[in-house]
Amino acid sequence: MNNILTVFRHEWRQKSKEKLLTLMFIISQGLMFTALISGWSQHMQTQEKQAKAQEIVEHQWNSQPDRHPHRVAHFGHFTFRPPSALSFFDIGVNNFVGNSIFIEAHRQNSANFANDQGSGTLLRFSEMSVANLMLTFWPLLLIAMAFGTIAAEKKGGTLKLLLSVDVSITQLLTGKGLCYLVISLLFILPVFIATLALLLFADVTYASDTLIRVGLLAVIYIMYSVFWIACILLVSSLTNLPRYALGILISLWFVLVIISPRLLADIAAEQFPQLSRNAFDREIKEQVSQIGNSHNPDDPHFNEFKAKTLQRYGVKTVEELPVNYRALVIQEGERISSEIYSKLYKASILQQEKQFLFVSNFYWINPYLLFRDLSMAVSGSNIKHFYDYELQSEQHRFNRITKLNQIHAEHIDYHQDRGSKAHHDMWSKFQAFHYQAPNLVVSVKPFTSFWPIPLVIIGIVIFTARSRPIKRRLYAWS
Amino acid sequence: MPGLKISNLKIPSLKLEFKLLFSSIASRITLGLIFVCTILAIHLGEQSRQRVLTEQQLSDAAYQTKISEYKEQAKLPSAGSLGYYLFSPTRWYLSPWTSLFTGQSQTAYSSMPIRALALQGQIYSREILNPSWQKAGRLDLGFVLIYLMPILLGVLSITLLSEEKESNRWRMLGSIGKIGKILIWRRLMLASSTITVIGWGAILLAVIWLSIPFDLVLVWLLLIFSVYMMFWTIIAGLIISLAKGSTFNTMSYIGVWLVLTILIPASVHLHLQHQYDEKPELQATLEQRMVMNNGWDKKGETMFAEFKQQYPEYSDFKLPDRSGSWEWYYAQQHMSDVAVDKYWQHYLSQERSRIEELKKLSMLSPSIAFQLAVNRVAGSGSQDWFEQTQKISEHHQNIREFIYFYLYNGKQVDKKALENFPKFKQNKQGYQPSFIWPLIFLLLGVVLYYFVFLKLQRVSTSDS
Repeated sequence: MNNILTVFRHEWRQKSKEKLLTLMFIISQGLMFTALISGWSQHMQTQEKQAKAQEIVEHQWNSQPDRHPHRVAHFGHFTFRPPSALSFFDIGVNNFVGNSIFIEAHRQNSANFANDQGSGTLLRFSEMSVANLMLTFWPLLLIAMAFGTIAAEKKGGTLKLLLSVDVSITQLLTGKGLCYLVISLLFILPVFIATLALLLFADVTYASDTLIRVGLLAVIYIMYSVFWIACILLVSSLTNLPRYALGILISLWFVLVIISPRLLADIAAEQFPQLSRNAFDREIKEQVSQIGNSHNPDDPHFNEFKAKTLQRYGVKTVEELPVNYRALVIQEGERISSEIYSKLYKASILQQEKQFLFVSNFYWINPYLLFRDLSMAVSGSNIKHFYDYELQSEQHRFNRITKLNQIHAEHIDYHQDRGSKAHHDMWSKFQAFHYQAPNLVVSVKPFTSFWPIPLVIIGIVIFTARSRPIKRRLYAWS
Repeated sequence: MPGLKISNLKIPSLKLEFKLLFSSIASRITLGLIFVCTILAIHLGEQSRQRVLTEQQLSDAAYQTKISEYKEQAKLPSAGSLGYYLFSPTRWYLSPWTSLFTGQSQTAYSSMPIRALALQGQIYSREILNPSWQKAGRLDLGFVLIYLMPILLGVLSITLLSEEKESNRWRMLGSIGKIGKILIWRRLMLASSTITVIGWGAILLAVIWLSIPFDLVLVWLLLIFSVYMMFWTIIAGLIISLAKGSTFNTMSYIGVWLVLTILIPASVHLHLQHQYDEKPELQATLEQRMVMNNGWDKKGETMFAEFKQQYPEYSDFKLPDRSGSWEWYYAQQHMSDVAVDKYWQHYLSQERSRIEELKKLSMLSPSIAFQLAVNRVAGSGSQDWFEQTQKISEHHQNIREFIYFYLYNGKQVDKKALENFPKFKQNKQGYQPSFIWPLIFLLLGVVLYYFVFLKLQRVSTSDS
């Protein structure tokens, strides 16, 4: 243990002397805090704007005069997706998706008004967020600090000296690894403390599991650092010149962080293409028309629907029904289109899940992908959370329109349908949409089978420190 | 060595230097990686473009089928019904260059169907995409040329001097006068020219693969890529001329690459997001909804009088008493667009200003400037999509005015009218790039090359 601490102290002193690295460390911290504050300000602005917009649309809805319910259904409403509590830390896919959906009768609209203008040019390496900086820049800084940690000892002849004073290879690697782990903690923890401070002291409400999520994120980024420290120590041990170690490590960073994520995403999109907007709309139209057309008096589906309705109420004509038959037909149309839409929408999500699964097969080879996706999931800013919002919004749309159709059926006379109106009191009985974000268990569920990867990383670290081939090489080169 | 005279030493042959250039495993791996990325980038880019083109053809086919169905009907639809149910396809022209410089061509709604109802309810529609795929950043030939080629240059050149010094060969090379003075410069030039030729090879391979015509655009592209590589060569030369160690050189070069290709673009994005954080399109949607709905409660004549001010040719038309008639409906739709026109104009001016500001800010990073330039030439950039949006808006006007003609003149739609239904005119004329700026930068590059040459000579002399 003493030897480990001695190596640790020695390495620490060495690194503290390197002014350029200290400067880079400070600049990186500055960048992280800039990203955190700008992410926070954007987060607050979005929240504020949404709250205002929500207030406006609720006011517009509630202050409607006496109106025909079907007109109210076409008047529609808006649902908003509040940014997740930690999207200021990891913005995830938020720049590429919209935050509001116009909900109306007969149509299922998608979220609109994303912030992706110019992203094809400016966001080829993702945005300036704390998560992105830690995922992309921190490994480079670690490489800059540690690439020569063993190779330089070998080149300078100090490795021989260390080994001769009864310091084992395992102790050497453990001491050095520990030193870079502490540096990583010093790099990571301030921004996490600031994140916690923002959450605790700012006037915001957040879900009960948010603080656990912050803790989990900290663990994720520490594990990510451990992965890179293990890689650096391994490469540095296996090369006999520091510049070779640097070349290999930068190539590794380049392949893992820069090239493979986009290449895999492109191949996945190519292998599991999803329906385009037009194809999706065409498919809905076609499937709806295959089931029935309410405007066609000879339509088999709606004729059967009519017969069943008359039978249920024990009457012979629609005029005799105690409810407005037109509203029942509208509702049946709504049910059909909503079911078809949901089916196609889920098929579209399934294609994206297949793309995700394809990429996730590479988690074992490229843990960067795992940490990136896990960070987005824990921050509540990955596509799963976005689709969860769209599905909740569609459910809300269907319920709202159904309720309006119910008012139409029960309060509007069939014979005076066109000229009748429902009382305005009814509009205030509609519940506003409040997005219920999934809890932590749901957020991380897709990653349950990948939990062994961090364990494997720890295994690699131990293997690095204790493996015989490495010991042999080190003894041979020392 | 017996009999060896230093004065008899010759500069190593280019063939030998070339072999030396790719002697390290790292340079060979990087080269191989770039080759694989180039092939995949061309293939994937073309596949995506073909998918978009197929979608555009399907939209056209769906439109033609609808027209044929109408023609076969015993009774042709009324003008109102035609305008309501007939979606006219629009096409964003994607030249083969967009396979290589994708820009927004794979993410924009490039086959947006449009009908004669209010424009503001349609123009902001988006394509269905996987946001994770968008976030990953995509791989196209532009990515290889703009981001990977500078890395290859760095691998081949950045330790040219430091490696010689670290292996103690430099003292010997420096002492032999002429050779030492120009050796590093010569090797840097060789690395730079090799990468430029590899880049040209990748472009020419893509041009042949995708049957793109050999024209001035190709010449311009080869020129601008050469200028871009000149910039990175100057950066590498300046770092080498500092005569520091391999570690310093490598980290400095990677640092410059990070700042220019990642940090500045991400900061520019952040800045633009903060500066243009208004959402006039959302305001337009919110307000139009109110205008449209309130219209049902208002007297149709008042609204129609305003409509007639816009279209005096229909001033003799009398609105039917029946509420919710097609004539009332189309006028109401148009007047709702007019009511939120201020937001639409604001949106357009905001987009214009965003594009202009991005152009100005691209001066901060040659990577952004290069990318904007090649996207513009390919016709896939933000400005091209902005122009397409305006063309869609013009097409929308043609459609609704076509419908108005039949609607407000009381004319029945006939088969000829169906044939004459306005068709979207694609803008196939590509942007003609200017050679002036690349040539100016080329000249500037030559001057800076000379400066780097002098600096390297000075280092060679002083350090030997």
